[in-house]
Amino acid sequence: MAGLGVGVFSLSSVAFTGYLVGAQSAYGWGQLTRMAVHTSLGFIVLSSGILTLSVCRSRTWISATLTSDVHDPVRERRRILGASISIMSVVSISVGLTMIWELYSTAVDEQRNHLVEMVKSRTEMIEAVARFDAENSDDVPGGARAATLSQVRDAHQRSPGFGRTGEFSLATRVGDEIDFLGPSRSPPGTLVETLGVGFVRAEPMRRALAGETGSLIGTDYLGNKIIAAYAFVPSLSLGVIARMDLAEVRAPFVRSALLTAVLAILIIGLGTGVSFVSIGPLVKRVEAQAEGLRTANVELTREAAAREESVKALAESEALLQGVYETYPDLQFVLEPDGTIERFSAPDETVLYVPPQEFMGQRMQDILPPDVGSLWSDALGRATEGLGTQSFEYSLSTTQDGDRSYEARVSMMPNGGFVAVSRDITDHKQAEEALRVSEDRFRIALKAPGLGVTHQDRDLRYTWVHNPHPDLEPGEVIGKTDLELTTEEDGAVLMALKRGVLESGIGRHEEIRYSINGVRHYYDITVEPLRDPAGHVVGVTTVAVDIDDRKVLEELLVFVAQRNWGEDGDVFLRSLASFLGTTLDVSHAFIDRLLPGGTKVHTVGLYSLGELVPDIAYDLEHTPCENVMAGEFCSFPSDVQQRFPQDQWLAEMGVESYAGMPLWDSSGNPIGLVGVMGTKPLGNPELVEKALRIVAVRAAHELEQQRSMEALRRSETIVANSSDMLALLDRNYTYLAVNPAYVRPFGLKAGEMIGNTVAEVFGEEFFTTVMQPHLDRCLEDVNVEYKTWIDYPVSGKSYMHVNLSPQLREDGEVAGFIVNVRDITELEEAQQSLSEMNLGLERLVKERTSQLVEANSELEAFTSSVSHDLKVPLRAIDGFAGMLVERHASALPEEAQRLLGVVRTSTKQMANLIDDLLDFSRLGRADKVITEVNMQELAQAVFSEIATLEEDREIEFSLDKLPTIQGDLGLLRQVWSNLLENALKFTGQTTVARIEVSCQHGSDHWVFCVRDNGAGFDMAYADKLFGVFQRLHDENDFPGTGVGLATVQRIIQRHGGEVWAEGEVDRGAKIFFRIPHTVEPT
Amino acid sequence: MSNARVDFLVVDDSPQDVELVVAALEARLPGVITVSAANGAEALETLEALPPDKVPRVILVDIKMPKVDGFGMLRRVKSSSKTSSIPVVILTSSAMDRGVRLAYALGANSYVVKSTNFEEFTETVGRMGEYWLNVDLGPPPKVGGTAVD
Repeated sequence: MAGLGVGVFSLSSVAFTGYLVGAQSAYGWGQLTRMAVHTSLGFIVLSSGILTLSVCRSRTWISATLTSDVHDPVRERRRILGASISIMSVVSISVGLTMIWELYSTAVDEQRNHLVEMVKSRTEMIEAVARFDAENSDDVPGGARAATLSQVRDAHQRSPGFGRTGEFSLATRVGDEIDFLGPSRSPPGTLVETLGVGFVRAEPMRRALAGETGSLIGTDYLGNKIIAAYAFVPSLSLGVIARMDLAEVRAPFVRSALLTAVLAILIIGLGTGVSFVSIGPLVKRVEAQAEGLRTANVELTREAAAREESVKALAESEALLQGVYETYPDLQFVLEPDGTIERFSAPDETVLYVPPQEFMGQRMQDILPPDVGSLWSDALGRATEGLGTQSFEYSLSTTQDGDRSYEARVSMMPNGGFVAVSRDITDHKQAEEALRVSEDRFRIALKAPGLGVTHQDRDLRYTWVHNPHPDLEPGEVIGKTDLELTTEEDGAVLMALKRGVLESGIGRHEEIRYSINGVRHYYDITVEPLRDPAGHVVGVTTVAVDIDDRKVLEELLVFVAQRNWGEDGDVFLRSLASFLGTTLDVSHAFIDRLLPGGTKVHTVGLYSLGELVPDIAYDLEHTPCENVMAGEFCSFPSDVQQRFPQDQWLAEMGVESYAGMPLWDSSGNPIGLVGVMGTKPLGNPELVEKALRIVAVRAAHELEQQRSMEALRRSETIVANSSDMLALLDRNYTYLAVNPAYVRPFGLKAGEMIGNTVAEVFGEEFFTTVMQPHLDRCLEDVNVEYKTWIDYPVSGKSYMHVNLSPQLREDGEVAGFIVNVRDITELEEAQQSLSEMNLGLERLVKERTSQLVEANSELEAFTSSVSHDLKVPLRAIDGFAGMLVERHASALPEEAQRLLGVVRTSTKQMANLIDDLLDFSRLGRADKVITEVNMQELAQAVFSEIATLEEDREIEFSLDKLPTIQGDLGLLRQVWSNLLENALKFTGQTTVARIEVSCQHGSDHWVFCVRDNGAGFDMAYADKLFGVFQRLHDENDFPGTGVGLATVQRIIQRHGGEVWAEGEVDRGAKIFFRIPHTVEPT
Repeated sequence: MSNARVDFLVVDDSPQDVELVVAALEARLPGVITVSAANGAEALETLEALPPDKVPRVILVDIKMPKVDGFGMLRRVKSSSKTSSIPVVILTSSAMDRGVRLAYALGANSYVVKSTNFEEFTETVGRMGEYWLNVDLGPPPKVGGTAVD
């Protein structure tokens, strides 16, 4: 039903929207649109109705089904069905009628329009007739108007009308009356020819005659309801009406409305009948079944409630039992007559040590170890015999908790079974054992030495004592008070303390000193009240412990810790020695400092026989102190003299015992020792060792401090006497310390400068412009050096070298600066004059060099020029001599020809000389071209070239491995050429010429050597070897110009090297030349 | 001076050298016509005076001369259309002379070293003269070195 409603509703909505859009766009808001809207709305209303009904129905149905208190569901359902059918019927009929009404309205409107058209055409026709008559009826009596009216009336009377009741009606106005023209379709007898204008019914004609045009629904003169259209023909003063009975228009609609209603009622009635007939019995059957079910359900519910009640009661009693069972702390068993476990409860399942399922159904005797099992069976047996509840103890070994002890009770139940309870009594037993052990321990503790325990009554008389004092027997103490056992003063203190405990009932703990038998000891005493079982204080119990040793060490510690950290080290060390002596009750105590060299010590504190004595120094050798310095703690509790017979001092002082401890500085190096000596054997060596260990740390620290103070004093002396100006600044450039040299130029004392800032001392401007940048840089942990002129108030302007070093804290931050200033005015002046001199010198060198260069180039130009010019006459001499010989040979005697030959030979020599000279001069001018030169290949090539000229000679040439060097290939070729030519030349007179070329590798150069076995030379003339035109040999023996070696020297010098020679007459010569690894271009 | 075209113009300030050169040329090329000038200025005057078809076939010129030297003369000879096609041979005392390089740059066609040895002198100068007299184009002969490098 709801589905149907939703379907219809959706369809209607869609249709509505579609109609709305379609109709509006096609027709505008015309009649059809209104129809469509109405239709759609009708369906929407219908579907809404269905929906509402369906919702109501389902709700009612649900409540009707679920609630059992509805009296008559069938009637109810019928009522709902009836109501819904009624609503549906009303809605359907309403929709149908509305539709019919709408159609009817449309028909009426259309009919009105139709009538208007008809009237209009009739009017036009009449006017046309009138116009015609007006032109053609001049001779007609009455005129044109009468003619026309006659024609019109005639036509009108013949007009058959239209539809069933439709007709035209014409009338003219005659005075106050309406004059109808001719008959109409009106029934005979009803025709009224004239009517008064005031006649109410003839509304259309009255309007027409008033000249109006239009349509209306009104009543005609007969009182019929009509639709009429009216118009007026002015030329004839004629009103024209087309009219129709409204009944004629209405008739079909009324018919269809009636038909619709009847049909609807019929269909609804039929449908209702069918539904009542067909649905009624079905519903009834279902209802009957539902009713049956409901009744059964109610009974079931009642029954279930009753059962629940009884179960609950049972559960409560069970829970009660279980509660008792579970909260009971012991293991409980219910056993069958044969001992089988029926049920059991364990407060904590872990105490079973066996999984519970293994318990159930087993006999108690079987699951326990045999010995325990027999205990159980005995007990069960006794219980069975009517001996009442049996109880017994047993113990079990468990893997989890070790041995456990149990106490079990067994009672017989009326059914022959048993109830057994087993309690774990292990803890109880252990507590008992612990108590026993603790009592034993207490007894042992009481036997400890130095521990005394006493009881005193309310009068503070001793009633029980345990180990009161080594010197006192218990019998001496019982019945006495403290006043009788110690001095009056100490006794009073003790009594007051104990009386306080008696009165307040609150225990006290004190460290207290009192004398027993005239010897005073430190005791740690605890006094507690003694109470009777009623809680009344009946006395005190006192536990006293002798704490003499501890006290001594404590006092030493306090001395060492508290005394004089700021005090002068010397004073402290002396007082420490004294304190050590008195506290340990020894005859001598000393603190020694190890002197440099490590074989002697010097006392810095010496206590002897109750007083401090002046310090002494002694050799460590053969003394117990030597043993101490060699190792760690050393003690000779007695007979020390016998151990160190060579130690005179021990004998002199009558020393019997000795103990010493070395002192180390913080780096672990020995720096001294501390020790004690006694004229009696040492009573308590352990105490002495502890005491020395305590003292050693502080004494070592003091010695080290002293040493560093001395070092500091030394460096202070150095600083104070330094001629350098030294100062220490903090981060804010404030002077922390200055040496005298620093303040001297200011004319200030150190104290007057310390605390001031650098800016205050030097002036703000000098500080910010000169010093601050350097100081800031130094702040970044950089050493800074700079030089500056400083104008000092007293010493005046000086040039100063300033060195700033950052002073670092332990965390690496710059804490301040160490300033080191040195006056370098004189140094600077000296340097300045030196640099001035250097400048002058440089200038001079430059001048000289340029002069030299000039002179050199002049010389070269001169040489070149001279050589050229010299060649002209030479050519002439040789040329003309040659021509003479050539052209006039026949005319010349032989002698003349020979002489001409001599002339020509001399000319040749001179020409060679000039060529060599030219080559030599050219060397100074040509630019060097530095390349890599393989000397090995070069020397070999040059030799091969030269040797071809000397093919007839026997030559042994050896060439070492030569390096590749930097140099000018052309020039170096010249060098090899000249040197090897020389070697060949000077070996010319030996039978076998030997020429060796070798090279030695220096750190930055090479040394080449050309050695021959030729004529050699006298070393006395070695310096002349390399001069131009310097010849050491006869021209006849060794021809040459004397320029070759000069050329070599010049080339080698141009390579930055040098040439030298070694030789001996007739023993050959060695020519060396050195060339650096790196050759600078010119 | 006849109307015949001159073969060699020898320019040198040393009369001895001039005589040696001429002797060398004549020894090699009997019948050649040579004229000489003691310096560049004189040589240029001589060239000026000659009609274009009578200019010498080869000019041999020393570098170091008073008044107009060898370079000045070269420059003038090679810049005048009348004389620019005449081969010019430089006479020098040394092949290492820096002047030879400059002479080539100025348009010299060849050079010859004036040896101090008579036979060598005669041979080299003679051959150079012969070559340039007969050959207008092509490289100079390999006598006395071709280039300075």
